[in-house]
Amino acid sequence: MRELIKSWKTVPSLAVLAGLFVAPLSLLFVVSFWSKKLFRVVPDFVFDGYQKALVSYWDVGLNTLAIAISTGIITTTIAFFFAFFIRFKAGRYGDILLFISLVTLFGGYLVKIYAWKSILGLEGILNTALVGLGIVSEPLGALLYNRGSVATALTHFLLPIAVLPIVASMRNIQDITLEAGRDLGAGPVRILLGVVLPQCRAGIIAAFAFSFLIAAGDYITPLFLGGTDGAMIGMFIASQFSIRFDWPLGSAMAFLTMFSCLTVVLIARLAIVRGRK
Amino acid sequence: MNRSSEWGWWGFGALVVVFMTTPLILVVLFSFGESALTNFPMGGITWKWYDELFANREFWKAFRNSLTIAGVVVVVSTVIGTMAALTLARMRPTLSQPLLIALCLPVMMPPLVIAIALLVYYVRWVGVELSLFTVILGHLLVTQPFVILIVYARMATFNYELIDSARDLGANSWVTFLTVTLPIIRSTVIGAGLIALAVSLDEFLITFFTISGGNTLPTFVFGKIRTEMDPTINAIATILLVLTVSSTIIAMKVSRYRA
Amino acid sequence: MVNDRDNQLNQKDSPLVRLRDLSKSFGRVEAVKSINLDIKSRDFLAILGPSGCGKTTLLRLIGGFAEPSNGTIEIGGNDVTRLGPERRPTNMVFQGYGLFPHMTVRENIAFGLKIQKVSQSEREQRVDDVIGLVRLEELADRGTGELSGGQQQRAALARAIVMRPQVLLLDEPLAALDLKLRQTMQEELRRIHNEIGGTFVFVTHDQGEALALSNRIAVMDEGNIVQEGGPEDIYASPESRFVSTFIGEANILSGRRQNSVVTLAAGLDLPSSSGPDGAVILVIRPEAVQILSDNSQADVRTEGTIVDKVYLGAYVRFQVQLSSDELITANVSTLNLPKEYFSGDRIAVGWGGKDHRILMDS
Repeated sequence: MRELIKSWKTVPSLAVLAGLFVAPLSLLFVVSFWSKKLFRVVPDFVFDGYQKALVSYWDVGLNTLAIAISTGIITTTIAFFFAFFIRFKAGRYGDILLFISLVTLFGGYLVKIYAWKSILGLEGILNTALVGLGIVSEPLGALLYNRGSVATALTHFLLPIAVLPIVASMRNIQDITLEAGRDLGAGPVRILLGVVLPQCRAGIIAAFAFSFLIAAGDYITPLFLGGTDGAMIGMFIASQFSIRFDWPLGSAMAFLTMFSCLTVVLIARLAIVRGRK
Repeated sequence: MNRSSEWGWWGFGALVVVFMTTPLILVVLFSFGESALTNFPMGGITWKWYDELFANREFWKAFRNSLTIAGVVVVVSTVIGTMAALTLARMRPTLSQPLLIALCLPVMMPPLVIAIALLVYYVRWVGVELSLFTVILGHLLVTQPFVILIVYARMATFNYELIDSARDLGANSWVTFLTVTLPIIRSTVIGAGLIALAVSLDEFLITFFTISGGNTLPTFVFGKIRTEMDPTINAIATILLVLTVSSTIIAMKVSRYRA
Repeated sequence: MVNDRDNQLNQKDSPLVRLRDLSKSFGRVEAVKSINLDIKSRDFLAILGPSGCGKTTLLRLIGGFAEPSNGTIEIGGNDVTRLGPERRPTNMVFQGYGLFPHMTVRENIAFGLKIQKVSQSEREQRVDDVIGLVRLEELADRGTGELSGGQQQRAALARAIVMRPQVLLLDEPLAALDLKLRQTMQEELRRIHNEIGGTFVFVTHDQGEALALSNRIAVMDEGNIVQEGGPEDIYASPESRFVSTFIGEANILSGRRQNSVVTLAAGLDLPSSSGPDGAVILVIRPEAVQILSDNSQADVRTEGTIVDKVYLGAYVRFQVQLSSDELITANVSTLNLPKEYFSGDRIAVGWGGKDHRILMDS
């Protein structure tokens, strides 16, 4: 009891958590069971929201999961190799490189999206380069407004986030385990997959979880870069709250999305933990 | 490892770093370009997009809002986050771990969900008007986890014998905190505050849904991107980038960052 | 035991610190079990024991850094059991010194006085005095990070002493120092204790240190004080197998007592020894065991074979195997050796009747 009183200093933070996170989310959950009548939203207990969500948006949902999962996998893979490079190959430059990579971790969300929109556009740099180098005769419209562009921009945004936990867990790997592997005759691939990878499973799981979750919930990236092909569910959830006012539908979609994301993360975790035995 | 594989790794590493930094460097570069297109050839070097931006009153209003919000958010989240972290660091792990995870949940969820939850909450349940205040509250929710994590990590290497010494010499909890604990962790706390600053300045989604009429820098940029491909976007994007990146760099330097 | 001593004391000698039925448990682990201890003013008390015996916990209880599960602590006639360290008339020198890294030595020492709102002139005077006492004049205005281990030790000591506590507590004060430094600091501590005439309580696992520094020793094992007394008492009259082997070296021979006659496995019969019947041990210090020539007399005498001999300069250490196959160690001063001995020799060993102790075998 006395311990609880002594921890009064955590109360403000916990109050913020309770009042601005737990309460709103629980209430949002409640709202997902309400019904929308004409122009008003009415307290109720029905599954209309969930029904509409599944019926009308299942395809977008799957598209979203596909993009998010592939982004997660690509990002985690690149992050793994990059982390390995920083930790084991870059020597004393490792810290500087890491610093550079992480400098944009906390800023520039919109800037990055805008940058890719510029780069991949018809009049963008990439196209100009391709035409200039003679690889294509005309600018490619296909660079933008599809799943690929969304995935690229997301990967770019998520890389620093994925690298961080993997590097952290790699720091715990002793160099001598790699030397022992070489001593026993393992080639570089074997060492990478058999010695290094198993030791940083926790970091890899975290990296995948973060990249996947953030990608799945992203809304601005597909809005500017996705077109119809790269549409993701975030866009439609948002519209229920800005233009359409079908709150039950919007919140049902949100919770369905979170639920499926959680499932994917748990499956991924099982796969990685059981995987390399 | 032989030479060629060394080169291979360095090539890969360099490629990744280039990938991560080039898009941003391009934006900064083109903000100074004469040409209206975000492309080569650039034309000459010019400040004209910045001039155009600075002449825009909407920009200054957004900038002021961003600073106001960030100012309040940084102070409040640093204070309550540090308080929480110090207490959590001395709790039994069985109690502190779940609390820590709970406090960090807001950052692990899609910001969109938090944004819409807050919107519904404010409008329907609490009945407040949307305003800068509602935005500040939302920012608090997502900046406080960073402060807590950073300070908590610092306390893991804190020498608690110093606190025992201070108490032994007659200092009560408050005096001990002011004269011993705070001076020692000062740089970490400042670093945490700067990270909170970067996060708040860059925050878009929650702001977008919970602000009433005005703009912050990110929502201002968003508006511009949505309506037209206006070259001043490069300028404002650069400004936003400079603010958040320099905040992050100072934070890392000040708190003597180690991954 | 304690009560007897209490009765013998007159009022002026009434103890400064009284621990009554003091115990402390962490969850299910009983670190300190029902301690009763008196500490007199001007004592230099050593709490001695192996790691894990609870000595540091006991010290922290006295200092107020832990709350007892049971029992009371009285200092200077006041019950301080519920008081935190801020309010107790004690000060502690911590094992890691606990010097504030962001302050100079002088600022560290002045810290407690500032909190007590001592006037500036008095504060500066007292700080200067104590800096002189520990001989840190030249380093007083340096940062604590620039000090060596021994210097940090003295700074931490000064910081505690300047507060003029009724009891000064030291947690393994010399553990982190190398041998040479340790000896120097032992002398320093004794000198300072004499000069300021305070009451010191320190915790150590090093029995040599306890013997060198203190005028009273409390030996702890598994949360209990198993024996308490002056260094000579503890060394010459240990009351248990544990104490006899923990302090100094000891030979332990097993035997039985029946009707006040002790018969050892090694075949010796001993002069009458009062006490209950049962299994007993005989404790004899190696320096008391002598090698006897054929015609020399000794109260206790037996024969054995030398199995090992080590020349250690000032003395020779013999390991002798007795008829019971027990090994007995004899440290014989080089000057007292009647002649050369070698491994394998059969010799007679013995000692005076007052040199050994008979204890119940627990």
